[in-house]
Amino acid sequence: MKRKLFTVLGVVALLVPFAVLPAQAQECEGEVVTIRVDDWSSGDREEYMNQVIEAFEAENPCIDVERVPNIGDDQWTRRLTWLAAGTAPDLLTIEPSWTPLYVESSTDGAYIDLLPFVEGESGLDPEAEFYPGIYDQGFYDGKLVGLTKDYSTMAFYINTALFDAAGIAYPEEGWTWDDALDIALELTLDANGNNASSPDFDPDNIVQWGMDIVNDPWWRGFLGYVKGWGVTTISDDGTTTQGYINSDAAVEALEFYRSLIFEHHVAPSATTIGATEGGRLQMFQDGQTAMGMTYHGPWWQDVFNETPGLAWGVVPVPAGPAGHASVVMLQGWGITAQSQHPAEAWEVLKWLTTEPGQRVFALKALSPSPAVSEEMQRVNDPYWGVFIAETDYLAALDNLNSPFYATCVDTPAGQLVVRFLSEGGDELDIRAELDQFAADADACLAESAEEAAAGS
Amino acid sequence: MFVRLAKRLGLNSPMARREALTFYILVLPWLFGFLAFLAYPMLRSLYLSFTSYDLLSPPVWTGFRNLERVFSDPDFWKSLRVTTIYAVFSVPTGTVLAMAVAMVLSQRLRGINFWRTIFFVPSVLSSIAVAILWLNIFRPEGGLINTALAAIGIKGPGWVLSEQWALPALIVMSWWTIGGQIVIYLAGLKGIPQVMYEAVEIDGGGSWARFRYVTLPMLSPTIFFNVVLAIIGALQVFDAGWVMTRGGPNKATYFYMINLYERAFQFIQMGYASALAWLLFLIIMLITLLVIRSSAVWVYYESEVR
Amino acid sequence: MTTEQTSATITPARSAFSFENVRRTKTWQRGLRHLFSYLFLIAGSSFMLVPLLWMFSASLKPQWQIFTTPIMWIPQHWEEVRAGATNRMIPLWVTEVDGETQKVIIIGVRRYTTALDAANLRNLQSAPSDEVGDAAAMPVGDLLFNVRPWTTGGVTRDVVALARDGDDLIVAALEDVQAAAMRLPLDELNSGDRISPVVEDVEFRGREVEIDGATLQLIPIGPETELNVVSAPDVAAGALLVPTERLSSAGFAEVGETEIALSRIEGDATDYVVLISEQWQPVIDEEEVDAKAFVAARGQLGERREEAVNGVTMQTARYTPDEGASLDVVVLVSGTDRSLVMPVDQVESLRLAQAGGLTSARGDSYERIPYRVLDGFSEGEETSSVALVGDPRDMSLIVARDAVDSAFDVSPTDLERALHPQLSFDGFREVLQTKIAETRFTKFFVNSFILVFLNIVGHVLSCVIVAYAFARLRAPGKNFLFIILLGTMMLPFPVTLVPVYEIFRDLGMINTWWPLFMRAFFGNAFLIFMLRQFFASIPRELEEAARIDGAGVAQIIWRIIVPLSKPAIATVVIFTFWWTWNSFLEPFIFLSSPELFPVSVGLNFFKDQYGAVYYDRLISASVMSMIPMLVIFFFAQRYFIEGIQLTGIKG
Repeated sequence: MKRKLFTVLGVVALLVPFAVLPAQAQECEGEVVTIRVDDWSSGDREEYMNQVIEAFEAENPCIDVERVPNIGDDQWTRRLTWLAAGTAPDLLTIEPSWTPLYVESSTDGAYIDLLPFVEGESGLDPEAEFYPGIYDQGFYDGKLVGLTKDYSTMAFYINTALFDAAGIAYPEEGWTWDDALDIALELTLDANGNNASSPDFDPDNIVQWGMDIVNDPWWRGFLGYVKGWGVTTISDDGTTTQGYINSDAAVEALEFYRSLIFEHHVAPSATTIGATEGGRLQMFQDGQTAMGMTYHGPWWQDVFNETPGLAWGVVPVPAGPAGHASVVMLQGWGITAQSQHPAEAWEVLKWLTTEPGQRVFALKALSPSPAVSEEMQRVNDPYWGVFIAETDYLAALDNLNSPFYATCVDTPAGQLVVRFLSEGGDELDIRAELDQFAADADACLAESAEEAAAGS
Repeated sequence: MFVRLAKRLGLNSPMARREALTFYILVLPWLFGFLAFLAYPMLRSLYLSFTSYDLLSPPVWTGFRNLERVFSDPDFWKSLRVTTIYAVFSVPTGTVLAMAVAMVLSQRLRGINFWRTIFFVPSVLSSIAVAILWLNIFRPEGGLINTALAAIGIKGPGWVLSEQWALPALIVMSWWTIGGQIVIYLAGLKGIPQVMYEAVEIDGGGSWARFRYVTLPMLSPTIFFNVVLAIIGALQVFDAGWVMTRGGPNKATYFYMINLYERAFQFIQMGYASALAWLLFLIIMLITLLVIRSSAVWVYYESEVR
Repeated sequence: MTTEQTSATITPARSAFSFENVRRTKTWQRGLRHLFSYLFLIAGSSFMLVPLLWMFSASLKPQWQIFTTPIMWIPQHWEEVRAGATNRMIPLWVTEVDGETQKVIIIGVRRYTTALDAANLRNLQSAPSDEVGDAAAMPVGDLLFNVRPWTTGGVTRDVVALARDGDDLIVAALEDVQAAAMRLPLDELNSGDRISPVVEDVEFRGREVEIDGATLQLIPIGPETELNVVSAPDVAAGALLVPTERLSSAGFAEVGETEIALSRIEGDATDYVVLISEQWQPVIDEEEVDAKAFVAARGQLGERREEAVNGVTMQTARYTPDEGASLDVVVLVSGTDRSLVMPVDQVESLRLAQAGGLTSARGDSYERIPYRVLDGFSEGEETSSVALVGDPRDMSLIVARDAVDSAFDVSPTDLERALHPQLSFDGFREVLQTKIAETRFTKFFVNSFILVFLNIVGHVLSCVIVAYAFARLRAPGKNFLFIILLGTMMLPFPVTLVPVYEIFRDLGMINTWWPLFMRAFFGNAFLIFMLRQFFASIPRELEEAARIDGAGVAQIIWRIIVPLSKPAIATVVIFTFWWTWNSFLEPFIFLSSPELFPVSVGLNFFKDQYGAVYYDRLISASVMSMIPMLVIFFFAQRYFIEGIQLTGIKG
């Protein structure tokens, strides 16, 4: 009887690995190397990723590419977990807000320098394959830590039906934030049908907002805005924010942004957006907001295209007092220092970020490859073209000035601005808050630098 | 050698020795599991709580640094406060409601199995599905609750999206899964001899007297045990807070376990997280001890009269 | 049960102290108490059941209907009417006309406002805000004004506020405002240039608009009103589909009781009314793609032309193969150096479909050229798999102006969607079709079932053995171990979480199922305790007999204990099912690859991915995740209840 029991146990123990481990099938003469790729794509983009990988594997039978899906809000901290647990995929995402942190928090620098590969035997010509401004974003601390998969710039989505119904012309390049306010005043309506410029307007019963605001505490969204007011948030050497993030221009910029909500009543507060299921995306889809700044680039286009009855368009970011300026968002990969097969990982990386991969990814993303963008006729497209044109107005990202920008400035600044934009934010003194913020951020930068120096 | 040891333990006959050996062979799986996955981890976690540990490099002894950091961390106090409020409100209300339902059901009504099934169904569902269900019920616009409130002219709050109402919402939601407690109290009530109620009736006591002098004392050991379990459960609540609110808005539902999870598995501060875990362990121990000590006053054990 | 038939009767046989008179006087009280008891139970079970019923009914509704007010319990569907010969369905609305309900379609929307001619405006006055009452919209003839009472010097007058000046309002008497007022469409007003007209030293924001040949300086004062232009549904039958770019504006016309914008097609003198302008997408049956399409290299294709193929404007080109004759092809999917093409003369099923109906198309590829495919695309009764080819284009559905003679205005608040009851399985279908991170939702179910099975095997084997030892065998230290066993039932698990993670990391088992079932083979304190209690109640004599026959411990367990303990073992199985199916935190921590996720983690993942936008899918997915537990519960309720009772009573 005992034997029977143990037989059952044994069978179970034998079966389990088959259930747990994925099967492998390859036709390779040598040894098959598996390269794991950190993948944040979802929906159609995931299919594209599969197709690109499939094509790669067909040409490189000795390399098996395994996607490691990593999506959602947790993905950034999950990568830290991987780095710590020693389970990081061969290709790990780069993103300017987080790359410095990954690099600094890993004893081995997280990523290897790609320059030797770029210049090596199986290299590539950066000038031919990438827009220079995008390629440069892959450098950190003098090392090329990664190559870009896709990027987005900022723009304004507008509900063309609401513009049409009011007979307001769609904004064009060169429009300013003051123009945006004028339009928003006319497109904001209360329940009685009075617009925001009417003396009878009732700000407590608004049914349609002229504008929405960036309401999630992701600083990059606001950074793109304050760039239009000529603001830099940290010194070039990355040691101080004093006189930068609390400059007159910064105060003025944020006071104007806040006035859209509390003074002019043309935009919902962050609290109002937060209390709406689906947030600002849903409000725009439902026709509750007439326009809004977005850093979601082409990603929202799908959703809008699939919303029945929604007529929409894309227009450039309005110019601030310092002219038209914004920032870029991008994501790509580097090769982790934990990778056992950097040479094979490079082949995968090259495939994904240059023409073979880009031809597919560019179907639903802005490609860093000038050739692919040209060939797909994106440059003059009424939707894509606006985002591409915006690359002429990009300001440098402050994130890269300091490895501690993410923790000391980026995250708290995003939260602070959301406080300005939330219910009760009109009672805050922006200048005093920013002064305090600069002092805190400087202390944090100094402390972090000290700790890092002591650690190494 | 073995025989001598066995004899010293009082196992004189070979039969007894063999029986003891068999016993230990049979409990070996459990014993191994206990040592490897409970006893060792507990000690390891105690050790880790005095270290700085990122899983990557070996733990570095930092003495009481973790505790200092915990106690000076506003997030810790916030999470403790949130969890305490949750426990203080959900445990007594849940207990009272479960007892009330059980007492009503124990009155020889028709279809007791039917009612019991209804009250128990929600308890078998997974906490994630339940969280998603209630997320929709609590939806401010068009959610079931606010629609019902609107029908009687009340403008409902933002519930889980509002800082003020998120925690009360989760407490209300905890009432949905009191089915297990109801079943237990029902069994406990069935165990009370009818004779005792009738004795009270003869003395001229009404419903209140029956409840106060028979039900409550006879049920008190069951209540005691369940309250302890409920407190332990409430202090470790994670799923609902994580799935529905991620501890938000603005940390209004930042439960102790969410803090612990984030520290351990998002920020890889394993030493810090172990200190949090041990603090929770001590808090639970302390509360359990307090309940046990106080139980002398309010728990009635039948053996006392025998 | 029979003794419990009448609630007022207590079985006298049980009680030695039955006093008839006591009971009789209390009968009515007891009846009342039972009435309240039932009311209490009904209230309580409503709290338990209503959310569940809501969820189940929501899972059978189309998304838009899930959060409606008032709540719709019966899933309904929109009533629609087909637009001409196209596959576009136009929604039907219900409105009340002269006390009769009537079904209509919306053919236009216009916003109007009240504006003042600056040249005719006079007698402005400055009024302190606190002397002026609240505004109320008041119709005067065709016009709508925000009229306020202004009380000054004991006299109250009707005024209209025109602007704000610090704490004062700039107002004018209603009569004076009326003299300068007109109602006009907002788009007409706002098409003028922005100006700042000054009237009696007050600067206004206004527009310069040309009306009937005269240039007027207009000041909009509101309120704005929205009107839907509606018409009888039968006009939809005559609708034509034309490219929007071919339409040009032809002013406005009085139609029925309203005015409506007109359009013309180039080279056609007829006036048309645009019903809907939207994006349309060329589609072609996927079967046809598979059968006839092929890949052409860039060098093989001549210059691209725009040409109508099957009435759909597509890119075509001359294809010259390396060998053989050249032919005209239509470019289905344009790649940079390889394109998917099909011979023009073989094209059959190419047609336009309304893009809004093409949500959730999946990615596919033909010889590594990616394109999108929609399965289950329905046009009327027919359902097919179609490939989305070419670019979407802006199209308009138009009808001749003469067809909409019966059009009239309705305020949007007086319109409701026309509905008919119909279950929608779209949510479930989408869940089954949706792949998240390459993993189908059904895979999560398979994973959960495998994990449940492994855990059941582990628990049954280990717990039976250990429980038997604790129930029957004598050994020194047994009581001590038993107390430890009971103690571990109360142990808070977080305290072991980090080291357990560490152990499995050192074993290289992170992101495998090992941590999720391995420990089941080492027993579970609660189940061991429960089985021990049960085993202890089995008479020892049965075992003694077997032992005399020479049976070993394994045989005794297998032949005697197990067959007699089926209910208890069933409870072990049920509880293991319950816990494993519902466990979340551990799989959440140990697994990172979606293809390994159990349902609980998969559902959370699904929520993070789709919850915000596609809540119908999320609700359907939740309902699906509940079903196995509900089925188990209804068939094995007894074991749940008995197991729970065992934990709860005294412990």
